[in-house]
Amino acid sequence: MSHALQLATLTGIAILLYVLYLYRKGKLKEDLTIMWILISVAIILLSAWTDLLLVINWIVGASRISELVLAGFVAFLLIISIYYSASLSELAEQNKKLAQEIAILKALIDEDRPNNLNEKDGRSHES
Amino acid sequence: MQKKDLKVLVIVPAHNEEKSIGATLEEIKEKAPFVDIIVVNDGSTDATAEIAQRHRVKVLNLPINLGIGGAVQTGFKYAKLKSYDIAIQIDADGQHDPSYIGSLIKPLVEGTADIVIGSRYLDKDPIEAPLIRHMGIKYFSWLTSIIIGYKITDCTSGYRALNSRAIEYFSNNYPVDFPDAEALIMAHKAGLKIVEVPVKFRKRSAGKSSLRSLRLLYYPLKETLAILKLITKKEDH
Repeated sequence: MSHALQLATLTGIAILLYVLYLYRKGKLKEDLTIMWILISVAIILLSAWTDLLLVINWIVGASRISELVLAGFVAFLLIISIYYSASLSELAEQNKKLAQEIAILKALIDEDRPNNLNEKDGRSHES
Repeated sequence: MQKKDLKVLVIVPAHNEEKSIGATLEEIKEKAPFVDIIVVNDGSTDATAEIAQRHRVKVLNLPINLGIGGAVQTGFKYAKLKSYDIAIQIDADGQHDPSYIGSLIKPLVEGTADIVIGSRYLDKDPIEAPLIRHMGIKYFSWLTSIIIGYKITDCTSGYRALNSRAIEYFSNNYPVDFPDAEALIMAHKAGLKIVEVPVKFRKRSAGKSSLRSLRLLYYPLKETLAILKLITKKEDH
C-alpha cells in the first residue's frame, strides 16, 4: 500500500472517530452522523482495499485512478453544498417565523402593561 | 357592511426610516382617523421605533431584519390575530398619500375584490420612474397579467388593501424578499380577486429605496424564478 493510500485510510479513521465523538457530545444530529459515518467508511474501504478502487475505475472507464478519486470528490462536495443550501433555506424560513412570533408576542405583552405608550392610543379597537 | 363598522389596520413596514416615519404617521392619523396603525420595525438601527412610539402607535419590533415581505407579513399575522376586517399596507417613506385609503378600501367594502392595489399607472399623470425601473414594472405587470388572466398595471405597488380572506391567506403564505408580482400570482391561485384603483405616488421624503444598485439586477432574476415556481406548482385552492 502506498503512503498516500495509508494516509487516506488514516484520514478516514480520524473522520470516523471525530464524527462519533461529536455525536456522543450531542453536537451532531443522527441523520448527519449517519451520512458522515458512511462517507468515512467509504474512504477507509476504498483506500485500504485498492482492488475495489480498480474495479470502479474499470467500470467508469477513467484513464487514471487519481482522476476517478478527484471526480468523485468534486461530485461529493457539490451534493453536500446543495444539501446545505436547502437546509439554510429551511432554517431562514424558520428564523423568519420565530422573529415574527417574537415581535407579535412582545407587542401583546406590552399591551397588557399599564402606563405603556402604546396603550395611550385611544383609537384602538383591541378586545 | 358600512365603513364605520369595519376594523381597519394600516400596516407601516419600516427599516431605518427615522426621517420620514413621524410625518407619515401623523398624516395617516389626520386623513384616515378611523384606522388603527401598526408600525413593523424591521430591525432598524436608527430611532424609527422610538419615533413611532412617540407618535402613539403600536410597534412590532422584529429582532432581526427580515426584508419588506417578512415585515409586511408580520403585520398581516397581527391583523389576523386581532380579527381586523381590512389591512392596508403603506410605505413609511411618504410615497403613499393616505387620502386614497377611502378609495382603496371601497371595493373591499362592496365585496368586489379581496385585494386592492393602488396603481400609479391608472392615474392620468403617473409619476416618472427611472427607465430601468419603469421597464421592470411594465415587464412584471405584463407577466402577472398573462398568468392571472386579467390586466394588472402596477404589480410592484406597495400600496395595497386586503380583506380578511386575503389577510388570512397572506399571513400564512407570503414571499420574503420582494412581495410584488409573486404575491399577486399566489393570491390569484388561491382564488382571491385583485382589482386596481388609481393613486398618485409622491417622491420619497427620505431614506433609500429597497431596490437599488445590485439589488436592481438581482430583483428581476429572483422574481422571474419565483413566478416560474408558482406556475409549475399545483393550484392552491
